[in-house]
Amino acid sequence: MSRWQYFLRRVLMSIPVVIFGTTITFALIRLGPLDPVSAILGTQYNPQAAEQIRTNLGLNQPLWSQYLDFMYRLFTFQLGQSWVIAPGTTAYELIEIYAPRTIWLGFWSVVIALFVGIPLGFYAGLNPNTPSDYVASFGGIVWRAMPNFWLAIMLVTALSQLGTWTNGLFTWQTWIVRTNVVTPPALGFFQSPVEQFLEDPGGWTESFIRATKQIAPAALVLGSASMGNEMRIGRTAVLETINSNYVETARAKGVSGRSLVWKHIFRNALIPLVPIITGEAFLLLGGSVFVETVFAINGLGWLFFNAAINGDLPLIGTLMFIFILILVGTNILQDFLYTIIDPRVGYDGGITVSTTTETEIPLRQRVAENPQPALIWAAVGAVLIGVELGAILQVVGAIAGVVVNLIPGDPGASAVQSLQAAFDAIPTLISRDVIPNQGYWNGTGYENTFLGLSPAVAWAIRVAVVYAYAFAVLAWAWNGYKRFRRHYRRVDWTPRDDVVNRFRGHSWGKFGLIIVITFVVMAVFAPTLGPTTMEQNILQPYDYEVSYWSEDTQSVETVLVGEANLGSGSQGAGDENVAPLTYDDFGRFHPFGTATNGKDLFTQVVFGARISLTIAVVAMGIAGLIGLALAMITAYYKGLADLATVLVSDSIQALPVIMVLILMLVIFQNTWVRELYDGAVLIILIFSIVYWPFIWRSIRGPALQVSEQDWIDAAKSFGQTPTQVMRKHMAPYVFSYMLIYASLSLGGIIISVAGLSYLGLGITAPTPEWGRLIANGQQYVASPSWHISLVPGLLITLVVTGLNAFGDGIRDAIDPQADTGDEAAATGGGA
Amino acid sequence: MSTEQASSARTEGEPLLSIENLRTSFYTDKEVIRAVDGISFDIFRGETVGIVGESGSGKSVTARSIMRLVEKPGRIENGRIMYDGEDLLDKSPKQMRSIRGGSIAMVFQDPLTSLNPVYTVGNQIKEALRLHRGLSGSKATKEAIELLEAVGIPDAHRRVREYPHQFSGGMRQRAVIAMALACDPELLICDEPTTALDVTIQAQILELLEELQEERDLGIMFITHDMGVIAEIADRVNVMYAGEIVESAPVVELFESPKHPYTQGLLNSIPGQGLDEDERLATIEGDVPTPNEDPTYCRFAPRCPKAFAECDTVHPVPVDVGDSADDHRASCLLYPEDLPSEEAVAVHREGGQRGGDTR
Repeated sequence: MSRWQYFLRRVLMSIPVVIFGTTITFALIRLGPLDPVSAILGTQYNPQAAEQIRTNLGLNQPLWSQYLDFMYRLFTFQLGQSWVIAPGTTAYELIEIYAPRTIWLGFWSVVIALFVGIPLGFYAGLNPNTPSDYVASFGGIVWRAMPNFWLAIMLVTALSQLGTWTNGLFTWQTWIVRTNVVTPPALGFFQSPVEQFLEDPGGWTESFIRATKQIAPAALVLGSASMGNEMRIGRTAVLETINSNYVETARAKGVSGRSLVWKHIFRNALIPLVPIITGEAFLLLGGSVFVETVFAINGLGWLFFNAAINGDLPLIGTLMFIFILILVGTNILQDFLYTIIDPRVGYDGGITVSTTTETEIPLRQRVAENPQPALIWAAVGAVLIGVELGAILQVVGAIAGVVVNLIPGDPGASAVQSLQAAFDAIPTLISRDVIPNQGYWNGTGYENTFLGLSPAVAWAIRVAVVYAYAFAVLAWAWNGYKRFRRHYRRVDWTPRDDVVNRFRGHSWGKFGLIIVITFVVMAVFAPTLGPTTMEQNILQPYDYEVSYWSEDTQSVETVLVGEANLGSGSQGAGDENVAPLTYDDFGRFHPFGTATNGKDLFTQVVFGARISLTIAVVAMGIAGLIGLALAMITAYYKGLADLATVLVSDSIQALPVIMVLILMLVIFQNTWVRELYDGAVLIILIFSIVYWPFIWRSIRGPALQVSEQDWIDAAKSFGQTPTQVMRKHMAPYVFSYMLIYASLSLGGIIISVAGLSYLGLGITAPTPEWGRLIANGQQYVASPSWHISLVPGLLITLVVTGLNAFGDGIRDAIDPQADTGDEAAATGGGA
Repeated sequence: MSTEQASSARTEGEPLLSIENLRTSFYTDKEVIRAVDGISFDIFRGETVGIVGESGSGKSVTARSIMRLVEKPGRIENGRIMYDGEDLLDKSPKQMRSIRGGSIAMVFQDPLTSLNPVYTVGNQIKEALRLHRGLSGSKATKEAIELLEAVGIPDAHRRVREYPHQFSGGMRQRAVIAMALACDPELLICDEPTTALDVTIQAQILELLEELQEERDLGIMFITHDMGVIAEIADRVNVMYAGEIVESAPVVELFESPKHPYTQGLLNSIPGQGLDEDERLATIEGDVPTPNEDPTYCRFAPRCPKAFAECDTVHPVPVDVGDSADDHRASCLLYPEDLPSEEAVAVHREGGQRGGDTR
């Protein structure tokens, strides 16, 4: 197959993808529980008007006829009109108003990403392991780990405050041309640029500069993730190319340094950058929702978001169709670029496969023969578990309670309750009761705190003990693995040892692992780590009291927590602010300060960590299972199964992730699913549905490779069933590739969830979420209450950096050559 | 390239390339590895000099040192590489670039990866033509087609526009050789050019090299670990072990009467040397050691079946071991054979004290 035949085939393949993607949109809009008519009529709902609109929209027709109508209109570009946010305005008019701003924004963010990201990456690749390489690489990694919406908030604040900070030396607003920080760009000069320029060159140039300056900060934020990706991939690509044989051949031919770099290195290094560059389209579309919201650029992203939250379903359908066209068009462009740039396209070359072997060990017998190392290890484990036994049993009791609750009639509820009470009575080392910090000053000393220490110190001790315990458990587990390896394993070496050893030598990965552990411990021990509890401080503040030393009366007073919260909110001004690491007026210590409503920020942050981690891990787990199962089936049976899955996954991948998430959250807004765990369950389901194609894509190649192996034929010839072959002989090989992809995607999910919550669509109150905290403190970033937005944002950046570093480490450990592609996964689709 | 012709070339005139006491070291965090440690040999016009040795014996580093393509953390530390009467180690990077590809060309081991996949084969040959002969445009294309024809690629005027992935392995190696020959080099360095190829293709490539050598009076340095290939192509053989040349002899002499125990071991490990049916093929136990300090002993001693006490304390120097004037030298304390063992050791001990670093 020639290159151009291959390209043609890709173009033809995109037609069913557009059709299928649009069909999914139709299904979402019409089959979902959201009624378009009630959204249109809003409060003026009456049956007569409703019937009228129903007829107008064709909702009385049978579903198949509606579907055909919907598809026919879109594919003939009869895009319809808006019904809710701008009733009567046609979609064309709306697009004409909103699209130029988004195009202008997208143009500049692509320019920034391309002309900063790629040169920096190439420079770093040409000078590896130098200080400038470290600065550029680390900078790029952190830069892309920052959530767009948070970065945008911080940048807006910084630009607005520049004048104050520099004592008027430099103000962004008056620099070069006068503009506002937050504004839609004035693009009037764009209508007939040539004539306008000829008429008034100076004025036109000024408008051009003004519009560029207006968009620049937003473009910088929007381009940030792509810039980081391009830098990373550019660096790796250059490094790989430099060490290739053809570069050495060229050198031996007498090619000079400059020509070597330009002709033989850069050209080849561009190939892996192609999908990253075209992948920007996804990040830009998704990110535009957030960036346009923060910077008040009324573009397409903002239009879509408003149409979605207002239930303007006809407009949503049209916009989705346009987004699909843009993304599919970008994919075609990507294939075109590939065809131009890489002559190997369409050529089926042999792929080499590394093989892994496993050995099964009857462990029990080996332990019996040499019990001492195992006994020592078990004894240490017993102590470690023993001190936390109460907590573990409490969790068991809680789960039993949930199970009983689910069974109709609640059989044995009383038994479970008494069991829970018994479990609660078992003392545990690391609990609020053993190291209490919620005491008060009685005029001479602290009461009800650990050893009479101040609440801050008592809290710090508890946190230190929790982390010491967590790391002790991990050290114990690691030690167990080493003991097993030394004393009980039948073989001296397995391929997995190499994986472990490679990871141990990967300091960047280990840095990531430590951050990830810190984050996981934060989520697991959330109730213990907080200076106060969720129940007392956040959920039921008016059911609890707090004692404090009153300066006025010189005595210990008692107040309801809720009232105390009202008096200790952080709302900007000096006396209405509780900064990090300070006490409020009621003697309560706040490690991260308080939120605007006076609730403890640290407690919210640790519980936010819990929900972020739960969503990311569970969603990735479900998506992984779907992806793995499909990969097995498609690799084993190939043919039609593969083709069908390609079609479905391509169609889902052709939808802008963030838009789909927003749309689905809006559609399921008032359903019972939305209520479960304050929306977390729904979010998990949506993420699983949206993410499985990405996982399937990343493991399809390895799955196909393994299905060609001789051992698969051997297994079949032994008469093993297809499921057995898939489970035992194929899945373990592919699993590690899935692990790589999943670990690289977790950070992206965390950012996306935060982004959706920031928009008010994700996790709802009362469950704390980092994105909502950022939204909560957004207007106080420039005030003394900066901590509300800053702390969660920094934590997201840190955790995502850690997860990405950990993912890099796992990838390099499992398969240094692994090409998991899709860097966009690590950046949350642009949130 | 008959042996008579080559040996007559040896007696006449200057060598084309003369390497004296070359040492190339790699500086790692842990140690300094002397990948090439004080080797000397000559290559004359029209002569093929083979370098044989196990993996890690320093063959490829020798080739890269001649081309000055040793990269960090490697460094050429000592010696001279005399080419055309001038020391290549004194050349500026710019002068060196015109020598690379122009006067000395190199063919690498893996033809599958030594062509840039994104440019046509013709483009890559033309690049060399432009660099060294200032040819461009249709002239260069014509020349490239001729070169491809010269290396036996059929339908060359079509093939010149094709990409490397459209060539088979053997074709690719032919293309790489065409590229190397583009500027009429006088010396061709082949770093295991046949290792990655099928046996039949191997034979074709060897034949091609012999033809080209005859036509152009090329000096060829041929690196391989395959004694069979060496027997086929070389006029003279240098056997390398742990960065040193342990034996050097004309090819027939070497195969007929190998002197160094290592060479003997190598030859015994070749299948099909008229062994009896129940006789087992000999192997040399152990691995090549990493040469990381000044040699004060024989590096082969730990694996040598004939080692004796002095082998651990005296570093052998090359001594004449040939029966005739054939310039056959080996670095082994067993020689000179006509002397009693103690005196032979003394010869090496004295030899080792002479000579030092020249740069």
